[in-house]
Amino acid sequence: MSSELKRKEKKFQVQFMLHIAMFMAVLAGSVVMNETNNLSIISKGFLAMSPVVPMIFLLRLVISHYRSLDEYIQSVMGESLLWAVGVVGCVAMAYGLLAEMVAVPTFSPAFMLPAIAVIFGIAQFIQLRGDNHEE
Amino acid sequence: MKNRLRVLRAENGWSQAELAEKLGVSRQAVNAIETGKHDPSLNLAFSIADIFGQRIEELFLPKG
Repeated sequence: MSSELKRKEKKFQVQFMLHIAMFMAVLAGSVVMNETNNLSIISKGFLAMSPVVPMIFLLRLVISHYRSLDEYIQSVMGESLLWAVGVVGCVAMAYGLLAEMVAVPTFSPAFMLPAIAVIFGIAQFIQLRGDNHEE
Repeated sequence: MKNRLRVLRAENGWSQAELAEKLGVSRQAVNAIETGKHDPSLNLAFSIADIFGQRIEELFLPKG
């Protein structure tokens, strides 16, 4: 990786962690506020969805980082994202169809984004694995 | 697309990381181009040709 790319990568990692910290803080704040105050249903609704706001900022950060990467890494990330969305989508669809026929435990859709992120990371690791050693 | 990138890089005594630094791309990108896993864009191909002082058609050859 060129020194310019290394510098950008380091900056991205720091910003990424700050966004995750912001998400955790908002999530904790919304849970505490919801449990300690007697709020109206509308306020509860806004409070429940508030952790999505830092996630939108995180999405902007990731897209901006993607644009700064070289064409090969961009293509790897694009394919990894397709795998992640495809796998999670297929599993969700299969589970949904199963739930129509059989009584199965319900899962919160809030877990879909973390699942996509994990599968995205695994797919990226697998694709770049072969490129990490110099021949 | 086949290419002579690895040969030319070796002739110049550069590592993949050094070539990547000159091109402003990741080392993985250089590796992927050398192994034929990734065909570079026209822009990157021109940059590679420029660094080695060659023409694109001398560096990149069609498969077959």
